[in-house]
Amino acid sequence: MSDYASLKKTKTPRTLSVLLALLILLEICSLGVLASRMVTYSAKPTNRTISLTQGAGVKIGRRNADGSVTWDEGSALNRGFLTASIMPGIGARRFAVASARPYFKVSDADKVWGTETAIEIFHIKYDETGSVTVETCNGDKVFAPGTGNVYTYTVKNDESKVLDYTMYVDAWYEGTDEWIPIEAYLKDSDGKNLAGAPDNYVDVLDLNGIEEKKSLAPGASRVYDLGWRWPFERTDGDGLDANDQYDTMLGNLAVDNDLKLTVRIRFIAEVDEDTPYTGDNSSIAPWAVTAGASLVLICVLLVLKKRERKEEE
Amino acid sequence: MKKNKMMRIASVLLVMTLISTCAISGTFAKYVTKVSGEDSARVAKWGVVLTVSAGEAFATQYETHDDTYEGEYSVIAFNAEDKLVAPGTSSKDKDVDGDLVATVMGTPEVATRYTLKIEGLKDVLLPKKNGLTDYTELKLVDGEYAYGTFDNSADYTPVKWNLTVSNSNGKTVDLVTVAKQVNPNFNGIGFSFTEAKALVNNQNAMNTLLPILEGMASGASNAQVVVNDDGSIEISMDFDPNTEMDYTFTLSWAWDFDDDGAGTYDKQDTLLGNIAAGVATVEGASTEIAAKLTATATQID
Repeated sequence: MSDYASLKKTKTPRTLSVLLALLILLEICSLGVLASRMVTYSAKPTNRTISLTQGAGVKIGRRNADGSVTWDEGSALNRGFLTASIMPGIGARRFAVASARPYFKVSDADKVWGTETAIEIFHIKYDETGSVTVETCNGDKVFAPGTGNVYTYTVKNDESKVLDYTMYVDAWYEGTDEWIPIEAYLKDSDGKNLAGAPDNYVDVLDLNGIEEKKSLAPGASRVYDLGWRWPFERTDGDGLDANDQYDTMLGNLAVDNDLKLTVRIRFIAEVDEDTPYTGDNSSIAPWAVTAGASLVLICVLLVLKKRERKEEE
Repeated sequence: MKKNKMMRIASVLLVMTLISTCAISGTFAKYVTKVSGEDSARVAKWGVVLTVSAGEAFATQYETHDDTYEGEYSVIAFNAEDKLVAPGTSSKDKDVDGDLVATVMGTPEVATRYTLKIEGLKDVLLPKKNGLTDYTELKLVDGEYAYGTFDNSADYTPVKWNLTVSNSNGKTVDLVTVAKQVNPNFNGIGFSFTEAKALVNNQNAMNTLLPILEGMASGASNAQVVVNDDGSIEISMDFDPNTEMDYTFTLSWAWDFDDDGAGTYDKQDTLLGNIAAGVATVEGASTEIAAKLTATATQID
């Protein structure tokens, strides 16, 4: 307003004032639209969920009082979903969940991974020999001397373009400063050993920090084997007896403390797309017109200004 | 000039706003696919507590059972150091904490094998032999007093052991009871180690004992009692994960004064006492007794 008043006071041509007002109006409109879009990203929970997937809709469901979910099976939107995740804390109300995009899929024998998937690297009981030799008392997953597993997961590119992804592996202990003799390896189906090898297990914490950048051709997949074990009889180090004593000490510590190991595997995938799909279906034309009009107005303003300066000279 | 400056600033601000709007819009529109899998586990609980009494199975002196005797102790080692056994003594005697006790407690999350080994076994023994000196009576023979003789018709092992297995729920079983179930005519108070080994090898006795042992804890299985090549007796049981292990093994002993009315062995007892005193010798006889308990709990792979 002060600029406008200043222009008026100096007897600026009327056209210049009108153009400037138009510019301000356009800017206000632009900011208003931007602000309305940014509401979606606010920390405040919202029922609205933007679909991240091209061609995939939104799955409609209702959370029941007991926490279970009833999906609206009749809804055409609920067809063809790969995965769905539900935010905790949502009350008994209808909500929508965006499905994962099918072009990049990480899965194991039981499930397709989502954003935070509980996978089965460890078990609540072990019965490789036909009878249960280790079993949790409270539902927690456990490991003990003699236990182990090979967890296999597959990365698949169902896109028609080359897909780049990065895999990160984190591994850490909680609840103890004691070393736990868990050994592990991680290899892929290309024959690359990312940590250790099936015939050369390494400390499980060697998995921590693995960052693997890879590409997958259209339709291709890559299989990873994550093996771990706690050797039943370790003869390394101080010898069998000392190792047995150490293992026993850990087992006794575990009676009152959770000596916990966590392994997390994360994937971030990108596909070489011209225009990333955002879920915003509004037309880009009005924005292009607005931007073009602004540009023209700026040019006109500059030209008029230049003329005015010449006239003054 | 002031007007120009204001216009320039306004223009720059406008352009910057438009550029930043585009940039921010691009940031929010960026398509990023993230998936992650995570799993945690903890060390399985062990917490098996084993105890074996470091008790003194035997003592250097034993209180009398005879009220007519004015002394307090009826058996006392001459040097007050050697531990003794004698007719009438037992692990239950007053002031003698003579039972050997082994316990196993805990509820591990792994399958566990408990083993109790009774080893280093020595029996007091007078072997089967005829014509042994009877020191209980002097007889006048051909004008001279002399000891007579007696025939020991079977190996004599006066110290008898009994193994009792119990838990905190009040369930209990012992070898004597099992022996009586197998042989109703059995009226002994226990077994020498030699006899115990024979009992272990008695299939009927084990068929009676082992199910009782397994039945004392839900999740116990594969109970076995064996005699090892080294002569030790080994009791073992397997426990499923999360089975409450609650067993007490008590090994008690007694040298009956008059064999509980089953007949007296005064001649044998007296001869053993003289052998211990060094005034008699009998080949194959033993006056030492010993036993050692070793308990082990091992995770089953």
